[in-house]
Amino acid sequence: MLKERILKLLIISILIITLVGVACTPQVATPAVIKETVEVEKVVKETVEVEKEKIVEQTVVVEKTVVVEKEIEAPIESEMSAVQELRILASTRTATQLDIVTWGHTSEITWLWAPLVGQDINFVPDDSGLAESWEISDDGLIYTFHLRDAKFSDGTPITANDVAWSFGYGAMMCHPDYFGKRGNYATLSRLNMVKGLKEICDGTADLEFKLFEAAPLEGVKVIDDKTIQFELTYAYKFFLEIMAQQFRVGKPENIMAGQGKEYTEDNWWATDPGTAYSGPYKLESFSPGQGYIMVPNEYWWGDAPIIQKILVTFVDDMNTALAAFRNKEYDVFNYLLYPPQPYFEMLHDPYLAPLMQSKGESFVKMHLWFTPYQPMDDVHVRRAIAMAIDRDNLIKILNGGESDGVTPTEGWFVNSIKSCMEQRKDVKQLAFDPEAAKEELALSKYGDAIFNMEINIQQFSTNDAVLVQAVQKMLQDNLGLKVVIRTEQIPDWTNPPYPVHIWPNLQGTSIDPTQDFNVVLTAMISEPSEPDKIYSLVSMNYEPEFLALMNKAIANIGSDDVCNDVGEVWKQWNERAITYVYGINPFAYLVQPWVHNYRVRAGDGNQLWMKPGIEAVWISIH
Amino acid sequence: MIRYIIRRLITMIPLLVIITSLTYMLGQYGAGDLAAYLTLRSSPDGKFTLEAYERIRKELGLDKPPLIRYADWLFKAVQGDLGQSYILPGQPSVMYLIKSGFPVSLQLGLVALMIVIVIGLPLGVAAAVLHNTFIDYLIVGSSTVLSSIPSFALAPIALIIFVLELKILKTVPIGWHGIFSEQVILPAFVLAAGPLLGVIRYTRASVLETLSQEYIRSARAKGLPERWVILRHVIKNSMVPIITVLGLIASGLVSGSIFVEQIFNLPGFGSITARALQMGDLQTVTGTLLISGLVVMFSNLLVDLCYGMLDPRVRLNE
Repeated sequence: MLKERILKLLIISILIITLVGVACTPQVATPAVIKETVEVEKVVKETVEVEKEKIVEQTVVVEKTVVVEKEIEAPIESEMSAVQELRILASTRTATQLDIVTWGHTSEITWLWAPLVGQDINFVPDDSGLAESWEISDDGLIYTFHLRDAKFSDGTPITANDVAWSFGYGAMMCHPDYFGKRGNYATLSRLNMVKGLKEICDGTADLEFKLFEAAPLEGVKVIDDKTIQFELTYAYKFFLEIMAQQFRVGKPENIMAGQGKEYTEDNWWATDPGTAYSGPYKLESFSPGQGYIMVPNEYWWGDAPIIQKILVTFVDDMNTALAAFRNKEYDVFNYLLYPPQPYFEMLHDPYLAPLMQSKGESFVKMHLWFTPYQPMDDVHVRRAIAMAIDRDNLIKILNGGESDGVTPTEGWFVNSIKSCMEQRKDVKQLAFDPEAAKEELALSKYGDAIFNMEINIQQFSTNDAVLVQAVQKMLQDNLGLKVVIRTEQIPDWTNPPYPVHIWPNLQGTSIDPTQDFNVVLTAMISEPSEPDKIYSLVSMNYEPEFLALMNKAIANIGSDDVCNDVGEVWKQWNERAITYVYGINPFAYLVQPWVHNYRVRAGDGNQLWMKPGIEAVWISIH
Repeated sequence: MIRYIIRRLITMIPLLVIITSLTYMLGQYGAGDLAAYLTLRSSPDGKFTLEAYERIRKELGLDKPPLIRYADWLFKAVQGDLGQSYILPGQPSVMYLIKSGFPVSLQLGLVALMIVIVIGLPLGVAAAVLHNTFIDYLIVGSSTVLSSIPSFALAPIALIIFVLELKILKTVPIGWHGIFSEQVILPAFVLAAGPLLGVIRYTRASVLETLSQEYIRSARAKGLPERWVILRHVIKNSMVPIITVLGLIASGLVSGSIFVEQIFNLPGFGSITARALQMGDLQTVTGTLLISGLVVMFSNLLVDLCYGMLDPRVRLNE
């Protein structure tokens, strides 16, 4: 009996000691933080008189953010770690993603391949790529690039023929017979203004698809070993920017060697032994589903990288990855993070928050609210609804009460992409104003009947439940409208109940404001003739002037006028249609404080092609 | 014995046909339209054309009735060809995926099973021997709590406690480093946590029942020390029902480690199944379910064979 009591006491004591011990374990000390100097200049607070049907006083706050680039920290011999290895945590990549045309331009894979055109942190094309200079013809149709003396990782020179062949390979991968296969989404399809490429991409060219072969292109001419010319079908304002983002150069012999080989998802020509790489690093090993290792390319034409080994470890579970990062086993946490979680959790975490390297933006959460059917065919109804929705509050509701780091946007473009800025600065959504909304609704042709009509909101998935319920409540409270949430499958979009269409998550990371949204514009000018197609709901053909404007914008895609057109579409869109762009999701990389000069570009998260890039990164003793 | 094994193997065939036919048929009606998906995916401008759709349907054999398609699949499956994944990058063969993932899951499952046996059996015996005492309540209570936490929640908790706070383990286990690596401990522990309660309770109940048998009373009456009674008579005679549970657990550990493998990025069978399920990859799901079915059936067969060894009264050929 006594023994049992002693045993009980012993066990209870151990439990209590363990619990107290765990609770009292000191938190890991927050290490020193690198602070990037950011000057935020809140400049103007002006009163603007907007004349419409009556004079409305409106306060416009213009915020100008000036980011002062952090100076590059030169390596300090005494502080440098003896082991210059960079350990990166990333989500799983497949072997095919190591390809020059199926690569993810926001990932560390770009360090294997050099682009023809380099780009700085603000998306401005520069001479950090293979081309050290270029000329553009007066009509903007011919680009002549002059290559530097560069070599592949096997020591062979990179010639204009290699560049032309790589472009032809990208064109071939754009062929409909192979598009979408093996994770190939043909990054070059965005450059289809290069003569001959569009026909290959849409399958109208007289060309048979052949894997690991280059397609002949009328618009690509090799002048000599160091000179290559691209001819366009129309002058395209963003040609250099898109070239920098989309096109990398590989060694033709390596790619052609893949012909006839049976590849699984775990291997690809880029992982074959003997493959030569054009970037600052080369692949040492690739372990399917587990990770890969890169080592410096000794023939790299830029500054020799300080980091001697880059070990990329794949793990898709965010909690596991975060635990490993917190445990200081890894130097870089390379994931796209979207609010609410774990983004906000990190933002308030004393250890992680200072390590968030970039709070750039990648997604526009966008909601289109127009339909050709009653009562949304009435512009006053649409405007009233737009003004009755409290966007700032909606952002908080959707993000669990948080809004830090999530910025509203006025158009379909993320703020961090510096494109068409002049035209964008005047684009404003209709401000939240319940009183003005009621007055606007009173102008509706439906009169009081509007209060008996159903405003149907389509909820496509349970993910959108909070959104549609919040909007429903705002419209009921602020306008007294009868809002019904439709969760059922609607086979015919052109008949009652005419649901309001919500279109979330549009991505806008291209420097060209029309590229990502071409689909939206195309849908908007389409006829609502296909009742089973969702885009019947976003057709704007009942607004002829707006339709004409959008047609003009589409016709001008890529031209110098594109920004003016886009700016005008944005303004009209906000004024006339119910386009509800309610916020931006930021993303962040986590970089340990002992990693110096690791810079991530906001907007697209590109890490390499800016001066200086990965070669300047070094690790201090920790 | 051999006749018994052959008979059991033959009875597996209709069971496997039922499992695969159900999976295959349900998948045909519930997993979206593969041809439509591939049509959109193979179109550079994202447009859907009926011609392309019909062509792809024909290429995949989707224009045939589901029963014919299933028969085709089964005929090939018998020859070791489980088809091809059209969804996963690289469009690998299902057999290739299984061959690459199964050994990892098998090894992880074995380690987890060892943990279940090494921890579960002694605790179950202890709970039974000290039944209705504080120790009994502690063992059953704590194992109930542990087993109630799903693996996707237990894994991060275990990471925080054992790696970040207590630092018992130095590194967060990511990826597969072999069965003898230290990194296998945490995934195997998380995997073992779920079935642990079952083993403890079964062992406890079985041992309690054995303890109430008359031959145990006789053993005690003839003056055998208690530990000898437990070790020699109780444990061996309690093993038969426990083996049944262990057999079922073993098959579950090998084929059911979906969450654990995903959390720790283990390239196993569970990861493949999970990814296929997420992507609506019916070919891979059907293939992995066939293998899972086989694992369960062979585990049951092994359990039945073990009965004969543990209990001479069981005659398998009867």
